[in-house]
Amino acid sequence: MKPILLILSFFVAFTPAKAADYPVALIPDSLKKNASAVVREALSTYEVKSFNEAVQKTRMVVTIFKENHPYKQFYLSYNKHSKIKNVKARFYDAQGKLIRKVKDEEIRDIAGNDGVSIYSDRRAKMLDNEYGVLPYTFEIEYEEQFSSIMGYPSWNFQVFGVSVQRSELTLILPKSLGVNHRVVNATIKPTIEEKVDTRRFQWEMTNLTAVAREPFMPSNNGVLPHLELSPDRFGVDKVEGSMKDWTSFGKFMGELNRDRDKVSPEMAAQIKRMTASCKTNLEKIDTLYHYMQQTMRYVSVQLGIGGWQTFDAQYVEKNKYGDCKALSNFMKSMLKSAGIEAQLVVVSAGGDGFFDPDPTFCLPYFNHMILHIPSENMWLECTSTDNPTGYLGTFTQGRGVLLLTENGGKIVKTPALDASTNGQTSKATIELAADGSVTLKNASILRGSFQDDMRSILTNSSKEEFKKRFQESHKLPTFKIDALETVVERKKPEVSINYTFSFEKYGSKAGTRLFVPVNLHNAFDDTPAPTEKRVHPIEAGGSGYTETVETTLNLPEGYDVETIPTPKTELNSIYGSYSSTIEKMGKSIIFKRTMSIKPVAQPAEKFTEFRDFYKKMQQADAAKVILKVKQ
Amino acid sequence: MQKHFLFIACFIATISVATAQKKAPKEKELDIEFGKIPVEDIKMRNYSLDSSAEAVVLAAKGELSVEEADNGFRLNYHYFRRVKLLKKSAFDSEGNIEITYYSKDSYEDLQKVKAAVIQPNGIRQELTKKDFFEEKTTKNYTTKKIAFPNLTEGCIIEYDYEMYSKNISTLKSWQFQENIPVRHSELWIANPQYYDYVYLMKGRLKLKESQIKGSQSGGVQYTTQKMYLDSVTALKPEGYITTMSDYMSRISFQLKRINYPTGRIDNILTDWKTTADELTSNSYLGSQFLKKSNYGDVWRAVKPLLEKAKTDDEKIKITYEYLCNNVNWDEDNYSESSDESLNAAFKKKKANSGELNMMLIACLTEAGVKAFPMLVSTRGHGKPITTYPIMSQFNHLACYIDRGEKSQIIDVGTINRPIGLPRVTTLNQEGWILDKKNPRWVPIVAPLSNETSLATFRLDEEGTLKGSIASNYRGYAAVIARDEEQDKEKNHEKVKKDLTKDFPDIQIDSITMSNLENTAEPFKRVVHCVIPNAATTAGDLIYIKPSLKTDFDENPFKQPKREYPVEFPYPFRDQFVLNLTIPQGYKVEEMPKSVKYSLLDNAGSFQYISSVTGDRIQFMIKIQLDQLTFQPEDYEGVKQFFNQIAAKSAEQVVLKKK
Repeated sequence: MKPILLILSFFVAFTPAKAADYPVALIPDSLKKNASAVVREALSTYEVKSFNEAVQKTRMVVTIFKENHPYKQFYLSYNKHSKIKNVKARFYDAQGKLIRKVKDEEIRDIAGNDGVSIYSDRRAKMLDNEYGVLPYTFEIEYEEQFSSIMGYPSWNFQVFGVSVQRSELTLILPKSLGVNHRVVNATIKPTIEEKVDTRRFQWEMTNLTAVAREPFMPSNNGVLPHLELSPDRFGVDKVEGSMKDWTSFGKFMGELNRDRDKVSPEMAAQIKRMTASCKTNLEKIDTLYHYMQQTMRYVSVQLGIGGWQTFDAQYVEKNKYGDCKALSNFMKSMLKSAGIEAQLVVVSAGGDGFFDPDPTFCLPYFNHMILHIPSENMWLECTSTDNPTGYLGTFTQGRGVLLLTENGGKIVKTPALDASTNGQTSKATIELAADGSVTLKNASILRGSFQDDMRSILTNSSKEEFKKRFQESHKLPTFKIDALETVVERKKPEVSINYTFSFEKYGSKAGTRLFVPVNLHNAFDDTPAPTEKRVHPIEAGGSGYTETVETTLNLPEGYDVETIPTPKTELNSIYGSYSSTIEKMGKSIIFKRTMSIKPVAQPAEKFTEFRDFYKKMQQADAAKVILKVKQ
Repeated sequence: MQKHFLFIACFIATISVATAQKKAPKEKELDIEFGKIPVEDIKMRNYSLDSSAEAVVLAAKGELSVEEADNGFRLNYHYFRRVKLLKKSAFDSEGNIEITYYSKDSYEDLQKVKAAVIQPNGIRQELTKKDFFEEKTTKNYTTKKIAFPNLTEGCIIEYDYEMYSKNISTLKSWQFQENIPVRHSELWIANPQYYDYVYLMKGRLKLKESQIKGSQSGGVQYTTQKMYLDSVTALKPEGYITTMSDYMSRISFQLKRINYPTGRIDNILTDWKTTADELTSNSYLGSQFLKKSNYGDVWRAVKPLLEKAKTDDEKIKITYEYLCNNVNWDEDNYSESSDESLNAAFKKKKANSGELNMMLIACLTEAGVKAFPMLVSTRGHGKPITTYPIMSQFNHLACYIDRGEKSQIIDVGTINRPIGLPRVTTLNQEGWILDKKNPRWVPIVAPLSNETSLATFRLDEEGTLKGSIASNYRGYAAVIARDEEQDKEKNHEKVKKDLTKDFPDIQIDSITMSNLENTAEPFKRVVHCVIPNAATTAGDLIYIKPSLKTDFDENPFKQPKREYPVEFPYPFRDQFVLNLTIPQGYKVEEMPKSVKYSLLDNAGSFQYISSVTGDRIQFMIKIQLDQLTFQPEDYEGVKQFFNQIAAKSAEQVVLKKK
């Protein structure tokens, strides 16, 4: 231990706030409105020393107003290429008076957990920001040292529910290095200062009022201002790369994952055997993909170059497991052995809120890998044990992805699911008895995004478990499942479900009348909640879908139809279309309905109109017929 | 986690016997062993007792040996498990293993980890170092992780390890039942003559036990016993239950007595009285609220507030509210003792559940109010064991005000939960009062939750309702309602959302509240609104569903069968009254009938009363649940009860033009 050094570093790193620097009284009222917390100051300096070395010093002072706020925990992630140092934190009361300093032992050092990996070499320093008396102010300072650079940090000037007095990022860059930078959702420009050897960029935003989250708001690039930075040279260990453009970055990724695609001679022989009878490439791909789905499982182990480099093909062969990179690479290797060329693809996965890359700005915010086969223009999700060959699902469909080609990276789009590929068709017969009890026989075919979950449950759990979940998932009057059959189509994204339910009480009786819903088992009931003043633009409809329903209700003896309150509904809008009819045909009532939902992006003013469309569908779907005992 | 053992740790080191052989003797007849797999098991493709099983534990075995080490005795825990994977769906749940141990200061150590995969064709693959990962999880814990390679449907995985632990006061517990079926599970316990243990069993299955055998090793007498179960069914989780772990067959151990070679005997697990004495002076428990050096800062803050308080109730209220408002409960951090000290927690304004209540006890004691700690096992932690003074069963501490008939349980937390309403998680049968003179178990009586709504509406010919709904909330219903209104800037968001869910066309004119802050009184909320399309109109007819409240429209009990009891946390009353004025020129054509149902023998009831006077109709729906636990044989009754409520709530009134 060298005490002098310690004192020095303390001095340099941490200049504690002077008492009364941060009294709550200094916050303008406009910033307090709707804010769970107010960022008094968020200042960070990222100083690049060389292409593979940097230091970032961050200081943040935040006043907490409400119990639920986004700064309850500070989770400072690091790995073997980085260090977290000099973490200091303090609490101040409403007057700005120091209450206490956070002790070193309150800063926990824990294993980093990404939620999916069985093991990762990431770790984190973690500390809590909680104090029983509101409002109070929390100050934190820390330093991150990077001995590898895998991209420059982004900077969020603001997060939801929080207002900001001042937020600033400074980038100090040697003149030998370049940077791409841009600010999203704001129009600020950096101030640039030239020194002898370095260039200093500074982005600053002040007095940002709190912004609340709303449902159906744009999810990909969000609505809040943030700064994106990409280095034109960076280095991981001794490996050098560039994020100048997608071509260069793709080249780096390709390099990193080169020559890992050789299967063992035994495997090659097996591939030959398996594909011997295949006549076309498509058949070969299907055979090998199916073999992988049956044989390999997803196990994520993240070591070394931050999850950018795949384990080689024989790792998967040997263990029969791998993460998305290892499995994609293994599939690529098998295809190569069978004479089919495939390309690795990096992608930001997720049904909602994924990162959609800008072809003109290289920022590799990806978290997943899939495979592309150029000759067939086919895409393979290699971590799925149940997808039909060539089907991506909502996880990666319809978005920009980075294709790693021989000549570097290229942003292309994955095929999109749409209203014609997603949805369901249901046909049901309801046998109604005079006492209101019912037998409901239904046959449904689910397609595209509608079958993703069902397919996975059916493939991965027992019949009993599925039945239990199926029963739980229905918001219906108490019913018994008399029969339940399912078919998962291996070769296409389609699942059929046939069931018979019996209800003791389906229609409700009132003296001589019987009220009978005609579409209870398919009723749409998800109208968005109204808002008094919509702030954000609307994004809704997912990738779109079409649902067709036909239900025949066979009436009991002794009853007549008294009323069909809504015999016909017809809705047409930019959000989709809906049409339904209820008709009496002899002793039956036929309900027919088609709804088609489109993906939409609309300005905030349209919210009432948007909600109205969904509301009217819900009301039409809730249709009942009223029967009366014959006189 | 270590605190429980503190007061016996000092004894353990004092026993040391000079022996050549330090291991506890192993039984000879063990045929369940790593690597010795019967051929039938390798070939097996389904489990005949449960054809739906995705995996089955073929054999699991634990050996708990309390044996001599260099520095007194320690636990040697030998674990073995062999599982048949029948379906792919079990690969992740069974094939990824984590073994976590308390590695700080070598308190526990994991050794000799072995693992293997056996293919259905008999090929065996022993796992090597590269398949094991060691993670320094936190400062105190280390986790060994295994990802089994080469899993195929029908393969067997097995693994085996030894864990050493300095904790010999509560040995590792053993689970005979799991969420997959277990064909055979056995546990051996070998303990030297110096240590006697109490065995604590849970679950419904009766353990089979072998004869206790005696043996000698290096001059020390050991007793060995085997307990086992065969053909154990899978435990499948069910909703509306206190915790599944109450029903899982398992055994745990607690050191009862130390018999020293010298003839001296120390009773560790004595009786509740002795335990109360020990805990009263325990530095993380009794000393916290008895020694001013531990709680002085809290008292200094509270004392001036109590100057004008005359009665005990005033003192309790002021202190309770001060603590709720000034110290945060470190959410979900339950504890029956202090992590550091009350003063330290008070400085951070952040405390665990036990610390919060000990702060209250300390201040009340200073203020001359008799307050005792009540040790509690929360609902998630499992039902209390009243037979032995076992401290590890407790994970929470509440405050008990002893006033005979009018005694009160106080449980400091958030201000929306007033005095008299313990945390819902505290409502777990009984709590133990740490009263040196008279330690005892007292029942925790769950307070009533009560919600009444009075809706007054006028219906017009278009089917639009105009009027108001006035709701009164008491007990836990009030806590929930107040929580929803906590953030005033949210502007009744939750209420509005719920109402628009039921009535998409509703226009809310105003929402007023009273007693939001005054938690001693019921919370009231009045919504004035217009609801277009509340009724269906057709020609001369209007149809309307009088049950505007939809809380009971869906039966929460959907499954046809139930294996374990249904358990509700607290009783409730829910009443909804609608006073409806019908449009002029209309008359009632059809009215839902008044009915009354009882749930079993007065366990609960449901009443639906309708009446007409002129152009006014009145409906009253009253639901009451008094009994909290229902055995599986009563499940059908419970299900039918909620079914009846849902069906009755769906009924409609028919109005016809005169």
